This record gives sequence, structure tokens and C-alpha cells, in this order.
Amino acid sequence: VSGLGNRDLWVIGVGLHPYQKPSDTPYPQLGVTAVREALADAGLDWSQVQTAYTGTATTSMALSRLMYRHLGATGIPMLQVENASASGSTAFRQACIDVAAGIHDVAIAVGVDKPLNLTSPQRAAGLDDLVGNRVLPVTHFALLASRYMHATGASAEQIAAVAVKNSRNAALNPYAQRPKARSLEEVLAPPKISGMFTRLQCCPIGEGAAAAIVVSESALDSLGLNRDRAVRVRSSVLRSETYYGTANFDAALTAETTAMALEQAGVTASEVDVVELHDAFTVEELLYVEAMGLCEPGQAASALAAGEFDIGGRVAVNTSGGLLSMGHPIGPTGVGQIAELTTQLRAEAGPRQHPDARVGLAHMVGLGAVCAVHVLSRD
Amino acid sequence: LLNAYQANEETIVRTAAHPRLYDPLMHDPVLNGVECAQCGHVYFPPVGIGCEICGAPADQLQPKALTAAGVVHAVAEVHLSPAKTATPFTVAEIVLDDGPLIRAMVHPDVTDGLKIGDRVSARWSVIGHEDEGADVVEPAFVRDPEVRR
Repeated sequence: VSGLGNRDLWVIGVGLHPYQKPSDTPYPQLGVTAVREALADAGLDWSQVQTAYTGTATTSMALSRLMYRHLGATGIPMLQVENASASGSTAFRQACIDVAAGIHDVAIAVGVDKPLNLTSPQRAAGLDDLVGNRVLPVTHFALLASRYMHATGASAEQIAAVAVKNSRNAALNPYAQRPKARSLEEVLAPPKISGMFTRLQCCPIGEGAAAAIVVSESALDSLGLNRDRAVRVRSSVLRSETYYGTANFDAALTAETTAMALEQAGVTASEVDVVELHDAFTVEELLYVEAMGLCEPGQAASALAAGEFDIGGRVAVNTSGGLLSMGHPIGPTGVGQIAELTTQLRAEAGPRQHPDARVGLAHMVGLGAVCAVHVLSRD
Repeated sequence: LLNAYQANEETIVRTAAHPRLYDPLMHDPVLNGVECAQCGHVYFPPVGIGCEICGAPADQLQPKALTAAGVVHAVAEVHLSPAKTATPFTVAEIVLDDGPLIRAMVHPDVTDGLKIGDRVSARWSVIGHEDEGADVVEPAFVRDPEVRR
């Protein structure tokens, strides 16, 4: 009932290139660094990888082969998967579908990006509204934040506290773009960007790479892989926006996608131990934990203040630092979430380990809007 | 291309910042919406090609003039703009009386801010001038006067 058929699927290796400000590092260097780390983690050689899906949205068309050739040109199928901020999540899903369908037994999902070509579907479609090009995406979420405060009574300080927690987690993550723990005073410091949002309540768009290797049950045995470090893919769901009236579409889409992913995984929201979710702007984390059913509607701010979403709390949210502090290089982000959950579920996260993490959930929304949710677990 | 009409014996000349979305010659702003003849859903900005709700083709999407009045749903003061527009300025989401949830500018004359739940309607806001002398206008929203009960 995983939505992926009856074959058991395992994440056997993960790797990252640190997320960072845009630099002169070529994207093949970013990507190959993550792939080599994932191969070493899995105990696999590149020649054993049978297919590759590359999540990418901002770098260039056709970027896969100029990257993978540096690992040895083996002739395997490779292609790019673009789904806005959910590109990496969708590439991981395609790798899962490929192995689940029995086409291959070893697939790699890689996210890689540099912010070289930022495009807009609204512009391409010739769409215009009364505000037009005068606002950035941050204003969409600033409007949403005003609505959330009106509906729940949450204060700007309570919402900003999301960035305090996630920066604290990122300070323990060697791959984070913003590796510094921040106080509430620092998070609230000017300049204001839009609405209630200050700079540190908006995620940085940078560069980086992430990789995750998915294998079949039979490959675990035939390739002699370490079953103790294998993490099970319990479900994979990808949905797109329908019409929700005046309700917030990102939250409504998150609610329905998460409900499907939990049902297909055979777990309830209360059984989830670790969550990586799309916190591009602080208010999103509060909206989405409510939409996912991790707390009661309107109660996220007080639950956060009570430490329920901390490492060691009731359910740890964004142990990596999230998009806000680990960073959001677009293509890598969704794969990086799988890397963080895998590390947590293996109990290998060191100082940022959430105790006894058994079930993890990864969530991304992407412009469009689309939403991808994966549930992973250790057996 | 200038548009002009006579009012109070003087010629008022206006052009639209967004020509597809409204007629700048109307005395008060009216929005160019679309209504689906098949399912009744009302759109602003107007859509063509097909209906998002029911999939009806373009010939079912018929022009509908929308009164530029409604209730504030969300509001944000913008401090960083990718355009040349001077900051800060304020944008709002408004649920129009005709149905659609739209995004629009708050009129610069509103100095005390709009609040969620305020009843608002649009007035012309001049955002530039053409070389020929015409005002470039757009609808921007102001709070309705309190009605004494």
C-alpha cells in the first residue's frame, strides 16, 4: 500500500555537498562531491548504479551527463527532473518508482543547482495581475502570515521563533549555509523585507548538491549491502493544487498530500518522530505542522514555544536547520531532506540526533503549486 | 494611444498600467473578469483557454465586469521590490463581492493601513505619466467610509 507497488525499497546511501552562497565552484564539482559521498556511504561503486535522476531547476538544461561523466561514463539512463522547489523530492520519487517498477535495482537521485537561470512560469505564460512584478515571492508568504496571525492570534515574535529553533539545529549541521545559532533579537533585527518578515525569516537561495541511493530488496542481498543501515521508503506521494476557495492553497495541498502519504505508509501523524518540511519562510513551518496534523489547528506557535518541535521534543521538526538555515539551493533541497531523515533514522546524526527516531516525513511544496511527501522508517 | 473623455468640461486623459485588466476611462475602476458559462466560476485576472474548475473550453469563458469592492483578506507592507517602485508600499488580498480573491495595491492615500476585515473599494491611483501627458493609472484600494446606522 506504499503507492509504489509491492516491492520493498531502501535508501542505502546518502551524501551532500555543503549548501553555500553562490561561488565559482562548477556544478559538476558540487554534484560529484555528493555522489561520491553517497557511494561511500552505501558501499557501492559508480559502476553498480543503474540509473540516475537529477533534480534541478535553476542551472541549465541537459546538465546531467557533464556531471556524471566524471564518475566514469557507464552509459546509464540519466535525465533532469524539474518541479520547482520540489525538484529534488520529485527526482527521489522517480528513483523510487523506477526501482519499485522493477526496471532497475539501484537508482540514484541527485539534486544539484546554482542560481544561474531563475525563470517564472507566470511570465512565460504572459499572466498579469494588478501587482505584477512589484513583489517577490516573499510577499505571497507575508500576506499569508498576516492572515495566520489574524486567524490564530499568534504574534510576530512567536512566528519568528521558528528561525531561532532552526538556526540552533543548523549550528550542529556541517552542511548548513547559515551555520550560526541566532537569538530572537537577531532574527527580528532589521531590515524588514515584506510584511512581518526580516532577512533571517527568509531562506537563502544558494548552491549545493545532495544524493540518495535507492535499492531493491534483492539488491540489498545480492550486492552484500549493510541491512542495518538501510532505511525503508514507506510511501511517496506527489499532488498538485486544486481549487480551495479562500483557504491557503499551500496548507490545503500539504494537508491532503500528507494524509495520503501517512495512510499509504500505514502510520498516523502521532507516530512521526522527525520531520523535514518546507520552511522557506518562518510562518510556513507553523502552517504546515498544523496541516499535517502534528498539532491542533492554531496551536503550532504555543507548541513551538513549549519545545515540542525541538530535537528531543515530541516531534523534531527541521533537525537539519530546514530551508531557513541549512539553505534552499532548490534542486538539492528535497534530496537533502532524505539525507537528513536517513541520518536521523540510522541514529547517526551526532549532536543533532533526535532520540529514538523511527519514522520520518519529508515535505516540499513547489511553485505551481505542487506538493511531495515521503515517509521513511527504520525497521 | 491616448484615451480621453469629457468630465466637468475638462478633458481627462488616462492610460492603463495593465490594459487587459480594466478600462482606464471609467469614472470609477471596474475590473475585467471572466465567468464560466458552464460552472459559474468567476475569475480575476481573466483567464482564457479553459476553465480551471470544470475544464470548459475558451468559448464558455465570457467577459464579466466586476465591481472593484470587497473585504480585506490579508495585507502586507513591502520593503523590498524587484521593480523600480518606491518602497514601502502596501499590497492586499481582497475577496471581491463578486467572488474572486484578488491581489491588488493599497492606495498611497491610505496612511493608517488597512486591516483584515475592512470593507474597501478601488479608486484610480496615478503611478506615472506618458510623454503625451496622459496619466498612467491603476485601481488601488481604500477603506470605505463608515456607514452610520
